[in-house]
Amino acid sequence: MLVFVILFPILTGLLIPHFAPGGRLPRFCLLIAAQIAEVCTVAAAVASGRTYTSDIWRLTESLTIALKLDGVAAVFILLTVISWLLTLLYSYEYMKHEHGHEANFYTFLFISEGMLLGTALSADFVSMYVFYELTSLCSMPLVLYERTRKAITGAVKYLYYSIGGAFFVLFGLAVLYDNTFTLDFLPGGTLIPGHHTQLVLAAIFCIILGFGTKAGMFPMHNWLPTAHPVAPAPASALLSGIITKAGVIGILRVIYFIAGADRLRGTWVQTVCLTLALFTVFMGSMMAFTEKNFKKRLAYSSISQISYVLTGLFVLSQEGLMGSLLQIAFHAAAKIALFYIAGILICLAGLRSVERFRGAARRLPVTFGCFIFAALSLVGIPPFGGFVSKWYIASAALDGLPGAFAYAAPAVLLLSALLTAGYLFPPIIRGFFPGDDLPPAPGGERLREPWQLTLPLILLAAACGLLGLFPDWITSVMQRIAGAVL
Amino acid sequence: MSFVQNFPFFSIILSLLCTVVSFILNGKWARRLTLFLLCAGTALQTCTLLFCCRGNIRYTYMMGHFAAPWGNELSIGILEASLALLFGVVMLLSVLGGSEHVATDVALPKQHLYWLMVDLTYVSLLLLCYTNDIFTGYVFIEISTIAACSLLAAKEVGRALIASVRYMIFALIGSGLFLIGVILTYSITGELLFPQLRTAVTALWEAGTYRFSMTVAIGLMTVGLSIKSGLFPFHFWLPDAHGQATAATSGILSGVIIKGYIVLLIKIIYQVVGIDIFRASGIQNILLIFGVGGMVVCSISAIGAPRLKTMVAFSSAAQVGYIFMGLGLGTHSALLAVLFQIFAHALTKPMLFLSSSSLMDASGGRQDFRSLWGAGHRYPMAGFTFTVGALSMVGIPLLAGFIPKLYFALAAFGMGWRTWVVLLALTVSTILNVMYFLYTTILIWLPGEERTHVHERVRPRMGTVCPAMLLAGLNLLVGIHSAALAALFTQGIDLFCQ
Amino acid sequence: MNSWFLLLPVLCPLVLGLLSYFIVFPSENSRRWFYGTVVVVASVLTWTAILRCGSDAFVFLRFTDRLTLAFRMDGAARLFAGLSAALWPVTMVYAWDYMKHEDRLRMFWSFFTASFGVTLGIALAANMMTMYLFYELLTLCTLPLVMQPMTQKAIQAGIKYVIYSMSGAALAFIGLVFLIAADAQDFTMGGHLAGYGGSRTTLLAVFTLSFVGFGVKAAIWPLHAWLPAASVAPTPVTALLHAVAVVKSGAFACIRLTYYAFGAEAVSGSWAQDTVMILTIITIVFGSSMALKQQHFKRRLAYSTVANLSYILFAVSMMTTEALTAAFLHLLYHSVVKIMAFFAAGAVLHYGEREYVDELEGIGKYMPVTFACFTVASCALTGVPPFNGFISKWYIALAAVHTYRALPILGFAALLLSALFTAIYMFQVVVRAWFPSKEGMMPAPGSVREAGALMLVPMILLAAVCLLTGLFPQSLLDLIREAVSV
Repeated sequence: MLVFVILFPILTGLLIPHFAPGGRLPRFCLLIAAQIAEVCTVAAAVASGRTYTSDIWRLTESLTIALKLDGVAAVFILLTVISWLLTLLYSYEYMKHEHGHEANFYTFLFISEGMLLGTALSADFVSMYVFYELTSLCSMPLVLYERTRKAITGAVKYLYYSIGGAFFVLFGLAVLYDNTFTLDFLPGGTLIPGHHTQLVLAAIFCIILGFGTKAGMFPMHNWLPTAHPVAPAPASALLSGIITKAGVIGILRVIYFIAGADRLRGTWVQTVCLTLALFTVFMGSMMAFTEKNFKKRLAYSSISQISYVLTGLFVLSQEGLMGSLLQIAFHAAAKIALFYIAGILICLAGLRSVERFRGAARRLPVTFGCFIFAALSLVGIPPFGGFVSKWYIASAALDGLPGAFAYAAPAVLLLSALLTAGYLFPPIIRGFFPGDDLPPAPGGERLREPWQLTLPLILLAAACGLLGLFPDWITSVMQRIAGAVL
Repeated sequence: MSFVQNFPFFSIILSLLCTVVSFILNGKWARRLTLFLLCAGTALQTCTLLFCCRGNIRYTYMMGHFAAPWGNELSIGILEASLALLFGVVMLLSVLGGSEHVATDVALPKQHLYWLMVDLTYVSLLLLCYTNDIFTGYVFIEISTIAACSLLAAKEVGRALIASVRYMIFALIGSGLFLIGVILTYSITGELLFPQLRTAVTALWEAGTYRFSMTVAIGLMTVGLSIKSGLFPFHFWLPDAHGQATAATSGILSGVIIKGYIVLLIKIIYQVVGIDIFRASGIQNILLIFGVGGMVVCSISAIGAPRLKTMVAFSSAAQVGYIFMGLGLGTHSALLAVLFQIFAHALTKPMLFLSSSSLMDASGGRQDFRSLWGAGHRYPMAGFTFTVGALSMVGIPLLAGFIPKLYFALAAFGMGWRTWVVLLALTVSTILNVMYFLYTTILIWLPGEERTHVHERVRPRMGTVCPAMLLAGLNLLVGIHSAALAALFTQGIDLFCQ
Repeated sequence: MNSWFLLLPVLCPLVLGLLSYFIVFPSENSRRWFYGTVVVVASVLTWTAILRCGSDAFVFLRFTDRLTLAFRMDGAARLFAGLSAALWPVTMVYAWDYMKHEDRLRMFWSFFTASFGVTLGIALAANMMTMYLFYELLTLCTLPLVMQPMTQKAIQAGIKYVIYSMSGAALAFIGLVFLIAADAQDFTMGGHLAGYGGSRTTLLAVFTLSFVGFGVKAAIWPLHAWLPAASVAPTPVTALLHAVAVVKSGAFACIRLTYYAFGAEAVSGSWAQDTVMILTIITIVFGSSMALKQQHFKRRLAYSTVANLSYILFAVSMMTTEALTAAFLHLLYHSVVKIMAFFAAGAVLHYGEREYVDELEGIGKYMPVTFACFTVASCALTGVPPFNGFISKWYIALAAVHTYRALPILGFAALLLSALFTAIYMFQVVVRAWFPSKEGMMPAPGSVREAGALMLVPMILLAAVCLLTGLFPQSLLDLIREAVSV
């Protein structure tokens, strides 16, 4: 069953874009149909509440590929398939404005989806490593779609950072192989107590650094600002929204399912990781504040926001984990929406830099309307979704962290929220209230906003709002999942 | 006393006879006489060797009817006989291979004198191998020096004459030092025959008197013989002397003459002085150091040599260094290695000189490396024998040159600081050997049509090629069946060192 | 019967190869038939010997009663002989196409075949003396192959090669003599010198020197320089000899020296082991770094070989059975991968006339199969699952971690760094070939053709092997484990 979930997108990606008959539209409809089927399958699997497992492959006695659907995996795969569906719809229209081999784009898009699902559904560390490497490899071509020199450089940088991170992980993996009862993911961890403790801690730290590369944690965040501006907007959206979360899920699995939160609480690993995560939160927001290119600004914003998630994870409490899971969901929704907006602004109005947003709201009202929702959610203003997640993370930090951290963490988070407001609100305001001295824009009237571009956007913005207004359902789900872990 | 035991004496008389007769013959007949002499001598030595082996004996032989200490004695055993046999075979093959060059290099009226000198060389070598009397040893090293100089000067080219004069000077210095050493020894001990000398020297050393004089005497004799055999740093005469001579002479000089002096030195060390006294006097360590120095320095000089034959000659100097290194170790296993080295080098070096001459012929008579490019393709058989010789010098297993290396290294273990000196010297020397020998071997096999002006292949001359091929075959044989030789030598050493 | 099994595979190609130099072939076809028959027959003989041979030694020459030349088929011999016998026919097919337009074919083919025999001699050697003999012969037999183009560079490369190799042999000679003196030169697992009574310093010093000596052929730093220079040889030579036969003979000789002659216990834990390990670690990092800087395609692969060989030597220097298994695994896997990579480079050289990496922009479109195979090779070399390179790196990693000593773990980290560099310098080519930038220079349509079938079939075969051995490594692993326990 799980094998099907992974295999179906891969096969779709390999076959349909190249071999489907007819023109662009029929091919596209087939793709959409396939994706809808995928979503339904996944939803059914999750809703059934069963824990599916499957052993796919036994490479050697120490290396196996196995899949399992548990609570954490369910969150990720649902997010993934839904985002993919929305992005697919968006990209139909968007890619009309791009020049390149569209078929290849969809191929790699779907294959990446399959690999990503594999990463989330992995039942043990080795399987996750395998799928993680393959995800990096298969998502790289998405970035270099435009084939300019800069795009290729960005893609290649992404690849090298990811592979480098994967090798950090491999180091830790090899050390842990001997020092755990099993490499399967079990809640509470599988470490053998008292065995080479310092080496094991160092290994875990390396793993966190390695996965943190994908999650944009300082000091390995550098690929994000280079890769995002050059990738086409749908790709950037998914990269920031979902693919970076592959790194997050890696860290999550290692901390809670291999090492065990109790084993790490109070160690230097926790301290250093918290420091790095908090620093990244601050640094990302700071860099976003000073950046003028909109997509790059969003990239830095992702760096910062994802480190919120990491902070929540490093608190090592149930509340923190819950907050992280919520933040993953809400950040995905908001960031994908923001990248859709960026894409619309580029392809419909040619606006890349924030300084030129003046008066743009008049021309793209729907877009800017959704911009407001997404921004509010990202900053963390109630009653939008982002507030809920950030609240839980901050309160978890306050409760669960020792000494100075307990106060430093919420302070940093607050500061970052202010900065976030600082880099998101001015463009909106400028868009709506351009000031009287603005010369009339050429063709300054309303632009046509195709529904394929705006519908996904509206859905996401609505989600941000609704789930913020009525958070109980989602919070209780996350709480249950977090409770099962700790 | 069996008839066979007379054979060494017969061969000495025969050679002296041939020497005298050659004076009145013309070149062609003198050459035939020499060949006959060498063949006969080889046959006689073989019989002697078999006799000694079978009986496992070593005996002394009185020449003439005068008893010691005035008369002349020979001591004949397995080692001496096998060395004499080796020298005979190598001289025979060198002479056969080089005859055609002799015919062109030496002026026609003087050719019978050339062959006369070859006979003289042979007789002196025989005596150096067999003599039991130190003064006879001196006499015949002088005679061999004169013969060698004449052989060298026979090629009346300017360079050869200069080389021969330089050789003469060095050689006479060497002989002079040796003579002084002999006189000192005689005046201290009053003996000339080896066994008596041995007793006297041992007694004197233990008594503690005359130690310094004894050491000086031994040192002088050693230095004298070292100069004559081309030990570093006295080797400066060697490259030109061996390099400028005609092929047969080079072969004889490199292959056997310098070995003759070494054989005498070995006899002096083991049968006059005794290995213990030799070690105690400290001269042994000096030989080791100089031997090692020779191995390295001469090889480095070979790399820089501008002409082919000079390079091969420097290689000879380096190989002599190996021998002295072995003598400097002083154990029986080292002596075994030294014997192997003498054999292997005596078989290989004449082959290299013969091949070099042939390759030069195929390159318009020039021997700078530029002209030799691709010479192997023009004269494949010479190229083949040169390759075999080069590989043997480098020490590829299955060829003769590997065996002495192996035994030297085996002998080196357990000797304290000497172990690493020897091992490192072997390694460095091998690497240097590769740099010039294999480099040259590659050079002669490269396709060279565009670079040199000589295009035609040379018709192989059987007279030159066959002896070289025979030597190559012997090389391979020794390399593969060294066990038999090792057994022979071990047996001989046991008898020799009692 | 045993004796024939052992003798024929070595003598048949060696003697026939050397003698065939003097045969004048009437046509190219007849030449191909002749050499094809000889090589295939030799391979068949080898495989028969591997499968049917008993474990008695066959002495074919006696120097003294202790010093003999003998052959024996033990586990290690099976592995190395099997590898050679499998790869020689494959390379021959490739060379039929590649060497079509070269000169001096007589010399090439006769020495190519002769080298086969000599390599088998190294594999089957029962004691150090025999191995030393064939080791020297290998240098001599492969020398004409390196110099085959007879250009100035080729001749210099050949001279460099011969000087380095013979120097290495001169150092190894010390080890040979030491073993003879200690009566320890027969190859048995576990060696003879564990209880050595003599000077331990001498033993360790001799070991270090001989390891470095044999390691020269395995391109250990600082004596590696001959290998990049030798990449001027025709590609079949570089591929087979300098990726498989010569260099793996060096590694095999080091294995024999360490585990079968001296014995791991004799040297383990000493300064000699540390010295040797440090040298291998330096080589790993050095080789990978130099490969990064290289712009010449084949030289880049040559430096990559330098680094990968030291993976094997690093594993050898750990001196445990687990490490030996990993070393053999990498020996086998790397041979297959590297030969395929060189084949691809050769195809590009031959059919595209391109030697430098920056000329490869967009070439994947015209040589798709070639570059598909090269992509497989890149993934395998970097260690991306599911290809075989991952498996061998994993086992080396495990072996290093299990020693729980600082130096091997440092070596493991160096290995990962090298893997990252590998990713960079291999994927740079892959990305450039498949995703040319718009601003770059695409090749003119007629100038590049896909490689011929004789070149493609071996490449595809090897790529399949990479994948299969990556997916099903267990049987090979068991085979190796069994082989090294004998």
